[in-house]
Amino acid sequence: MTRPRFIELALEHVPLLLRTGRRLTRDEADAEDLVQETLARALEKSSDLRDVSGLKSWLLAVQRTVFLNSRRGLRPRLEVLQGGLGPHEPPLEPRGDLAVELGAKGLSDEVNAALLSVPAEWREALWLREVEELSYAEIAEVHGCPIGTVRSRLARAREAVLAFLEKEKLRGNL
Amino acid sequence: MATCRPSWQERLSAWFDGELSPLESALLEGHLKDCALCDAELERYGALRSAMRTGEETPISSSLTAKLRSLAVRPAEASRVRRWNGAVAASMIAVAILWGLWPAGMNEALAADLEGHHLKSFSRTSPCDFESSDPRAVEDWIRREFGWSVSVPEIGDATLLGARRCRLHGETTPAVLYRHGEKALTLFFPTSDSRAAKGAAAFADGGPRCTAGPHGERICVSSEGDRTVVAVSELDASVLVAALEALPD
Repeated sequence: MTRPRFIELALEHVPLLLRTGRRLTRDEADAEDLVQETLARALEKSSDLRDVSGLKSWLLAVQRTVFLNSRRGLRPRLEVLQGGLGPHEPPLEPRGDLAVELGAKGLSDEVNAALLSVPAEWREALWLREVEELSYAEIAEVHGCPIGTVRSRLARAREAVLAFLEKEKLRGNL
Repeated sequence: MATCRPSWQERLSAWFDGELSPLESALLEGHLKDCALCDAELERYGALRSAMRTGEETPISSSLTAKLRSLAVRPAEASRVRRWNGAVAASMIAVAILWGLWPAGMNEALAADLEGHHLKSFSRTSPCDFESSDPRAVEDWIRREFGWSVSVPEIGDATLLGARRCRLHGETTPAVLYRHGEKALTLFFPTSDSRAAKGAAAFADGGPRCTAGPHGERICVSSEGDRTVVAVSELDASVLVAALEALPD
């Protein structure tokens, strides 16, 4: 495949790469840099791509590798550490149904906080499934793991995110 | 909230995604007839999905599209990237030794910001937003892009690569990039009224002064009058100070 043809095909997936880049880097400029670097690396490795129909998950896998390589060594210094819950938590009281409240409100901040509370691999799998609508096989390719692992991560991620939101609701934060 | 047994939860999650085999689907659907907990859990899965799918558009800037299209015609620069990455890795090995030996005093967040931008620039395929080895051309680009003038020095054995935009403490700042042998050097030119310039000038305290970033890159600052310039590199501090002294008056 020629370089211009490869880039034209890859451009269709740039919105997805940019959304994923924003989520990984939490910075617009860094996300654009990451997308640029991802496509540059993808071009170098384009002969490895056997089936164009798998381009989306293949690009996401390249992006994940580029990101992890770029942050290796910098991550411990630059990541914000989340504080604990503190010793004086108010007593928890039931405040209605979580599913109803999730459906009724724009809870992006709370959902983001819940996503950040779970391990990165669970969070990424859940994001790729729910937002980007990737299949289990595609997520497995992105993460370089078996499909069974994806299935397990997704179940655990859902359980943990919903448990976090439930706890916030009980505290009255939702 | 009470939930069903974990073995059912994993099946429930996969069934919700349409990823369960026909046999397992039949088993789960039989279970669902009698399990109110799993039924409620499905409702919560649906609510979470709706909350995550905002339907937000992702506009792509024309400049990003242009940069990506330009990749199609630009020859690969992998070998250079690998060399720079090697240099960056080598610098990180020296972290522990250097960090304790250099004078303290620079704002820690500023030092991390400066070092982070320097390392990140040279981890990219194209470190520069504007590529040129001509100091005047780089000065013109900075004047056009930032609206102020800087003097780009010619530094001894270093080769000027070009310039890029950075955000130091949230303020857009030009950075000029050089290659010195196999090592990278960045000069930052924050405006005099920026927080980065004020922090760096306070650290310099009147004369060129050096410290080390959290990953061991040397950071040297020169501040005279309204002009504060910061050099970052794994090169010896003497080279950085010489670079700052090469700045035109």
